[in-house]
Amino acid sequence: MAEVQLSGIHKQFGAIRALRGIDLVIPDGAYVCLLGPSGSGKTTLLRCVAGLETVDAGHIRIGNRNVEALEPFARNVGLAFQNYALYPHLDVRGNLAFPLRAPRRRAQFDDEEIERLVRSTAALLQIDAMLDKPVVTLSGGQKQRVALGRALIRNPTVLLLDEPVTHLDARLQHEMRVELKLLQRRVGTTTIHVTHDQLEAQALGDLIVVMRDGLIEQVGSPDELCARPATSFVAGFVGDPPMSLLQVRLEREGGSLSLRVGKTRLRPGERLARLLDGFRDQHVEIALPAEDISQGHGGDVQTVSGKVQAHEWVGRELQIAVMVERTLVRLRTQQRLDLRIGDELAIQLNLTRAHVFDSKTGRRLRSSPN
Amino acid sequence: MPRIEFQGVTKIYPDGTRAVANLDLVVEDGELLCLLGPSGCGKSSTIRALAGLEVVSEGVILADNNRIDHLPPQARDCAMVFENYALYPHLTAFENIAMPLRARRLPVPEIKRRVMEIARMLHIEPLMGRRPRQLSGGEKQRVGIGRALVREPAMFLMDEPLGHLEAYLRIELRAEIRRLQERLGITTIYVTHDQEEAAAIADRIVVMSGGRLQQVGSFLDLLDRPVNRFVAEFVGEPPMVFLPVERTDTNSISVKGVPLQLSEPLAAALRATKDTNLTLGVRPNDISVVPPANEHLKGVVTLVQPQGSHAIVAVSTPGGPATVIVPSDWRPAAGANVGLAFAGERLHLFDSTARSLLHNREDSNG
Amino acid sequence: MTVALIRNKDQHVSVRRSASAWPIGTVGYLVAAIFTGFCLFPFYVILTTALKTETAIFAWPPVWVFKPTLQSFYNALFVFGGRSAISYLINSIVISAVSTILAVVLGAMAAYGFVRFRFAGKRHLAFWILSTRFAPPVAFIVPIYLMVQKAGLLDSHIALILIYTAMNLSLVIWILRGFFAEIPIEIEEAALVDGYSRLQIFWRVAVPLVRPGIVSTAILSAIFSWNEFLYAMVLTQSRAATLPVYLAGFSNSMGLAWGEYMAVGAMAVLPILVFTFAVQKYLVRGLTFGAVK
Repeated sequence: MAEVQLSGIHKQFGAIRALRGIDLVIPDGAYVCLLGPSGSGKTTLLRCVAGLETVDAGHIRIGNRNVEALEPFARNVGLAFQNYALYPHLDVRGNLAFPLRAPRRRAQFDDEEIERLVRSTAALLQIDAMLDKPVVTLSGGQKQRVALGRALIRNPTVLLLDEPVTHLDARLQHEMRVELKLLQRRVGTTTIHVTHDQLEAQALGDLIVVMRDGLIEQVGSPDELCARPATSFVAGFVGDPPMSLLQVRLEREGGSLSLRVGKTRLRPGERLARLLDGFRDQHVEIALPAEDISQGHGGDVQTVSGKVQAHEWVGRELQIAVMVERTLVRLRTQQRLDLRIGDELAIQLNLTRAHVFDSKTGRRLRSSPN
Repeated sequence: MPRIEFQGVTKIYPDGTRAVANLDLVVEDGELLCLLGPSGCGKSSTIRALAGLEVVSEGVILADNNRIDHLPPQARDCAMVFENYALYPHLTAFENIAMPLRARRLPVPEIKRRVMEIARMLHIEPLMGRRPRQLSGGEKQRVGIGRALVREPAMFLMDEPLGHLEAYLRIELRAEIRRLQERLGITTIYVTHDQEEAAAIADRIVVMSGGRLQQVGSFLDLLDRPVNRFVAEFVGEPPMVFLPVERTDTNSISVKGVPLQLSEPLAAALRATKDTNLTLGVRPNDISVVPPANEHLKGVVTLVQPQGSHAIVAVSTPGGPATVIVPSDWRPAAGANVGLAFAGERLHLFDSTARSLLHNREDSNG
Repeated sequence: MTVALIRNKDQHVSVRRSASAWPIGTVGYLVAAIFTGFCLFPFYVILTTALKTETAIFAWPPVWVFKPTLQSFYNALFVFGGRSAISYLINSIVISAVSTILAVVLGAMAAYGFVRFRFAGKRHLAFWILSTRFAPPVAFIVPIYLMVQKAGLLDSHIALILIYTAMNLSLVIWILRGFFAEIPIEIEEAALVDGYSRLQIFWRVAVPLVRPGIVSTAILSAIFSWNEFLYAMVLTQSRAATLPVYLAGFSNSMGLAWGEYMAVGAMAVLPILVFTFAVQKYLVRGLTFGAVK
């Protein structure tokens, strides 16, 4: 259990700059999710913390030690790989005990102690009934538990999970999320969990670190990310469905401001007008949560229309994607609409809670200076 | 675009496994039908029997009322897309898609025209000169789909085509598949084990287990009116919560001493059976978290998982674990004592044979 | 007649024959049996001749049923004064075993190095190792003879061991390279995190996973070393001579002692056969399948 501090981490693979300056503090005992699309650097960062990659620049502190120059063995971390990476020639017991039998640890554990630890770890992960089974005969979910057990058995300071549930069936993924969180709570180890699935990150993370192209976009709790996305990328990535991002041109005529989306003109409302007051650039991005988008014509809310691109059932709600002026707008409705792709649909936009982002930097425009 | 019918189709493998048992199913002209179920349920065997890759042991398969189960695969005008793409590694993407047309000896300009048209529909025109090993998973699967569709087949079969792809790619591609299918209007059968995927794209879903058809219907049919516990548990995420109930008399039941309010149809169905070994089924959306009180089932919150606009709350109750969906503006804390209120009209009761008391129609085409 | 493709769950494609298929089966079996018999006949002759008494050997027509005796083996191994087979047999065993072990151990380490490490000139080095097999061994006989003579190692076990090891090394490296490359690197990374050094990972993780490769290269090296004749002939005299050399010089002015000759022949074949049968169960493919994903 320890705090993890990353400062100024840079990592390059040939011409590819995988990490371009990462600064991050992970509190002791926290469950932190590194979230991002492929190529964002999240797995590279995890491997740097593990010691499987060296950093080109920067420091990694685990607890009160600088570990960036140490090999994996000396850092006391546990790593569960995406593809489990179990030792195929051993059974479950052999896999769990393997870390404890490392020659450099020979003095620490005698056989009795090893067996005791194997049993208690197996019980924790509910695999005590299959200790003698060869790992090649196990199902995906079982293999993943063995991988977790192997990572945890040495009581590591930091637990690193590389997309642990990605390769499991959908239903099993949801079940394992609960187990992972409860397990971590029980064991208390500082945990870093890499995923590309933002719903998974929201479900599990005390803190979520959103990464893109080797940089951190935002660090925050799931609520913060949804309510106050720092950049347009975060706004468009997080959420179920994610927020819709409209490209807007500001038009000022006389004293009044209007928002042009393609051929449509929208009124900004008081809050947005204040926000955009004094904003010099002509282009912004506006992010709208799906709850503020609804189907149909309305009273004083703004109406646009577009062609239906996709329609799916998610639980009892219909999730519709509509192409409005070259932007894909996503909304949910409880109504039983009979839609076909290509249909014209009228959409109402409620701009009261919209987030506004600078088109050039992607950063969110904040209200009054504070 | 035929109407396909399975009549009493059974498939028994040489080692005795009964992969499909007595399947009666109608696939309407131009619809997208999903075969949904866990591995081993018979869905792949069914689709392969339709394609002609398996020989039917009993029963017949009809297309527009003509028997096709005795025809070899080439004569059935089916196109199939597989989970592992099955592309020819030594040919370019263009050549892969052109293969079926070359086999039919179409003139070269015609082949080129049709291949490029399909490529345009699937947004893979720039990839035509590449070989499979230079393509990503999503691109390979599009080429596989292109190769299947370029023949303009009467039936389009897909066996877990998106299984190997990343989550966001799956979401993207399945919308495209649906778009394509709606545009072309080909009768399509799509096999998957992922109920979310089935819900997203299917007109109707066929739930299978152990080689048997469990239920057929639209996603909402399956969600709201499951005929048995298997369908109720398999469809819908988070899965339905099951709690054992005690039957206090002919008219009423309770969960660990807490009486349940039943809707009239459910109460009538309860009266109609003498079974005392019953299970309550209720969906997480239909449970609310309330302050603990005697008239509600009590429980302790074990885990809260935020999911943006709502949260998934795991509650431990005397009757077993329960999952509840709560709107995000109010969330209980882990460890809190809560009460659970059930929406009376949305309850399900299952008897000792796991059949739903209320929704147990036997007809297979819902 | 329709022949339908039945694909059963084991991923085999079986073809159901129609009833009127003609009996290719029986004729095929007959041909295969005749050919097998033709191939095995020399071994049969060697073994039976080695076990026959002298009169039975020269009997005509040939005796098929006879009373076996180990006299020929005994004679060949111990009685022939000055040139009994036992010392040659021991030489063969020692030289083959040691050179096989050396070739496999060193080759495994080299192959692993090629697969897991980056170093300057790796590709050139790999090609050079392969190139040592391009020329026929007889091309190097003179320089090697001179080297061995100058080193004072003529007629020594060491000389043959070193030469055989060198000759087997390239094959071992090339075969084991493929096997090591199949090990998913994540497994070794897991071992790194678990606290093992590179060398420990090599012995405890990588080598167990390439057991089929180790076994097959060991068999190939053993067979090569055991049967090698040219270098053994040239570089040895009496102390380190191997069985093939002994067999070549078997006939002398007294004529050929057929029974003993066949006994030595049997002794030349049997150890390799026994070794191969003993280790063949380790030639199991796909040891690493299923451990990853």
